[in-house]
Amino acid sequence: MQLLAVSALHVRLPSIHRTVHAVRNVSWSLNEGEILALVGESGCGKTMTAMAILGLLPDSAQVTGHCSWQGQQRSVRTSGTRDPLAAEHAAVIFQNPQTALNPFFTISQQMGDVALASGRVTRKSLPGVLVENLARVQLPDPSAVLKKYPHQLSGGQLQRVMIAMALVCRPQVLIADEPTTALDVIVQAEILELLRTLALEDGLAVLLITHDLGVVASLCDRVMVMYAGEIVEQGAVKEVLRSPAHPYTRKLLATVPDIDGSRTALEYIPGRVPDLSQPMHGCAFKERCAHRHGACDRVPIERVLKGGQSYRCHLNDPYEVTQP
Amino acid sequence: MKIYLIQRLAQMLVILLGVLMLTFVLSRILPGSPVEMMLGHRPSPEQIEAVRTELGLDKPIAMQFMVYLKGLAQGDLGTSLHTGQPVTSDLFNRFGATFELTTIALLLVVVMGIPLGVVSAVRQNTLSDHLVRSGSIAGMALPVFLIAMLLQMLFYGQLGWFPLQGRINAEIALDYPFAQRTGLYLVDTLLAGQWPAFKSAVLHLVLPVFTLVMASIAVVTRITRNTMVEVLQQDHIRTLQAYGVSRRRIYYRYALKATLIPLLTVIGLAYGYMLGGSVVVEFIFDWPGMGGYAVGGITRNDFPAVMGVTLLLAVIYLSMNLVIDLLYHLVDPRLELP
Amino acid sequence: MTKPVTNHTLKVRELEKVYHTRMGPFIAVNKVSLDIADGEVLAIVGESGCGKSTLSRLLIGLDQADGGEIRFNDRVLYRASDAHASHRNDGIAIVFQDPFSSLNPKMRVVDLVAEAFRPTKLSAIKGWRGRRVTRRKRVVEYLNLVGLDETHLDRFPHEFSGGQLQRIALARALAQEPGLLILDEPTAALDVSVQAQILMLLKELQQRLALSMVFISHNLGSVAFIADRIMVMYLGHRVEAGPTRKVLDHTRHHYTRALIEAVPSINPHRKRRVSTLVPRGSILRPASRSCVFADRCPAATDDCRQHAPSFTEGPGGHGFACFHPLSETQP
Repeated sequence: MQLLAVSALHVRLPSIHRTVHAVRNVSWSLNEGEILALVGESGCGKTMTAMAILGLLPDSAQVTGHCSWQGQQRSVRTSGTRDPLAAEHAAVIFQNPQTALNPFFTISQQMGDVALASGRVTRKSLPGVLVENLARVQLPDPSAVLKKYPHQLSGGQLQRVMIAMALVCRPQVLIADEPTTALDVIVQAEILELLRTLALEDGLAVLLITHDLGVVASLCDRVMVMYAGEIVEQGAVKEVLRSPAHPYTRKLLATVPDIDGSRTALEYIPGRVPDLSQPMHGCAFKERCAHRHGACDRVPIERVLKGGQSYRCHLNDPYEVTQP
Repeated sequence: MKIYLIQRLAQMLVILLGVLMLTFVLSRILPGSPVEMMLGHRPSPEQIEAVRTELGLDKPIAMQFMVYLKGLAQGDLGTSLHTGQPVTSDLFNRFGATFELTTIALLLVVVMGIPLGVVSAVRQNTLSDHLVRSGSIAGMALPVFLIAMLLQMLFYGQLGWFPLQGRINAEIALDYPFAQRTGLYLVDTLLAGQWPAFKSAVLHLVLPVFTLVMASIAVVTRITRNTMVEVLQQDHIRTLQAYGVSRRRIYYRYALKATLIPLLTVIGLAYGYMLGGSVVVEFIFDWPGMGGYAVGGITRNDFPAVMGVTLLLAVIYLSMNLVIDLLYHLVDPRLELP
Repeated sequence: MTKPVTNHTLKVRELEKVYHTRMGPFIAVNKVSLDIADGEVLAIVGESGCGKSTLSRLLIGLDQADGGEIRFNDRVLYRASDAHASHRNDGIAIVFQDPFSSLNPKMRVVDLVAEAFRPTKLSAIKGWRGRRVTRRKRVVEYLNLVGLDETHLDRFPHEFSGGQLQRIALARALAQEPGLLILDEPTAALDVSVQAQILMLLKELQQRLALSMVFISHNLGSVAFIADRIMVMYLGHRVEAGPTRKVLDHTRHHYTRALIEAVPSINPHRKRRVSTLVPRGSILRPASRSCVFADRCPAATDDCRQHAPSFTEGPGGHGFACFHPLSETQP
């Protein structure tokens, strides 16, 4: 079942000298129990995309587009006010759990305030609910955790607390913005495992924002690749990683050094990301693309392959990319 | 905790001893002596010698200091050469006056300065922010004596709402007598149940308190604003916003506590500064406080008075420091008590 | 991949560093020994708090060790018994993780790089103008090495991207003409595609200049790509060390295996196994007598909790500290 559909999402960030088009005309959807990855490098607009639908962008941002939460249509809020419909369905966790909690208050105080603000928990049932959700994220001795201050917990424990805090609001969608980037590799594996469990057992849909293709490969069902504010490719993780169709996705995959040491040389993408305050003519990736040809000055249409994988490029056969 | 306190107190004692020794030696070796002051014009050498012996100034400095410390241990700070009263009772009267003035001023600075800073931070670069900032800076930039005299001209000269100077109306104090139990007139008049005297004491406090508040609120407001602006950009505030916790609660509960550490430091400093440095205010409002006593003592080479004031101020500063350090630990759970 | 051991640039023996905290002494680096041959790249891997960054600080002399010995090119940099061993880091340069904070934002690139020149280098040249020209020329040489050029000379750090800044930091390190280059998580703050560029650059420089390097990282992918040998650290201890492929393919220590298994791989054939480790509490303090890893190890026995295994080196320079190592012939 489709939980969330986003269409024609556009985010502009005006400043005195120029307006940056950070997210450009993006449409996507998320299903129940699905783990969807939003992948890209810094500045590609992946975090903006997620925060825009929650209404969490700064006041100055101009947002247009539509969202539909379980069929309830609404246009995305322009101002920096939190969207109550979005808040009803989605909760968010952030990159660095060590700074995401206030150091001067106990876990119980902060979780309690969040729980009450969600309107889903009464003051009376509060303690029970908090303990129950901390247990759900597999934290041993939840009532002891509640009494602690953030500095008394490790990074992994804190990220579990953050997930529990999200779960208290009983969301259908969990938006996780680089949830393991600040964590050590073993702790990262544990947190990813927890997210997978929550998706499998509770039908929680997860939108995972990440730059780590390894994380995508080991956790996610579907992936969207963003470049310069656009989604350039999307599809099932297995297909996109095995046979990437867009030249950018191919390059991105070739830049990752793998632990088996099979790569003696890494590819890298020459040039820089285009200036997002300038109007874009045609394909956003053309300046850096090895397969550039005349057609690239026109906006590429979305091509759909069998299995639902789709990409935006003028190369009509993705295997042209494979064998240049 | 206990060990920590004992350590800190021991530390304080050592510092106090050092301060006393320094002041004692300095006052003795600097030119000028109380003897000339006491004896007036052209005293005979015999007279001088007699007074010196009487005051114990003929003995070596180390000896004199030991005598002073011995007295101190028994709670005797000597007798003021100028007032002829024991320094302890002088200080008691004077300190009460200063304490009453500065504490009320500090309370007002905290109660008004912090919310103004918060408003200023939350509504960055709006009219209210600019008003708060320029207003508090103006108070800081104007010399204290100017503020004091402007207030006197307006509220005494033009409007006649408040008295010009002093701690209490002398006639009212005579008609409604009260015992000086604490040295704080507000408390003493209340204890004695003398309402008119209480009212007079309050009226007398308004202008000097207001002057002090004007002069020092800027520091608190600015620190609150700047720290708050920083805190509001931190991740944990974003978390609460993302979950729809009310703005009020975020600002006054979560963000404010995170700004308290630098604020406490500034408030402590401001208080110490007011206690020792309200000389100008005391002078203009003829307030019988410590400032005037200290200045008088210094200009008249009144050794016991100077020593007494130094000791008291040092004790206040050091205890203030200790209290603030303890408050840090109360506010910030990351600082564990050793 | 391993080179015949000829001459050791760096020799470290039983190096120790103890920090005194309120909760008692904390041993950040515990009797760590390592050798780096000429032109060899040693990777130090481990999670945060394992002591890898402390070790790098000891090597370049930012911190004074509390025991052991550091020899560099047969010169004693530090020796516990010798209070006078001056620890100057001549010949050892470092590149830090975050180029945004390690380069002074108020200095031009030319000054940032030229900072590294020793005064004697330029003083031979007569005249202020001549010195200035030579200085700029020399800076350009180093910028060229890292793929930048003279157009970048007079710019300020804020005009560059993260990858370019890391190149500048690298140029500055190279300008010291180091015999050993320490790289402390040099790509952790960068985007994947930029990370690849820096890794390629490092590999190229290493081969061209025959640089000895210490490559500190938690990213096993980068390590596999660049390092000749690996040392794995856990809570200040060296738990496993050896040639890269041996350590990664024939892992002996249980901690190393947990690290490897936790790495999310893009290779669909490598299935990540769920970590079998006992989750650790927030306090990183093992019992003093036991093996450091005993409280999390799936294979720990009473023996491990009573004695600490010593680090034993096997054939091929592959060593580990474990009583119950994984079998050598695992897949």
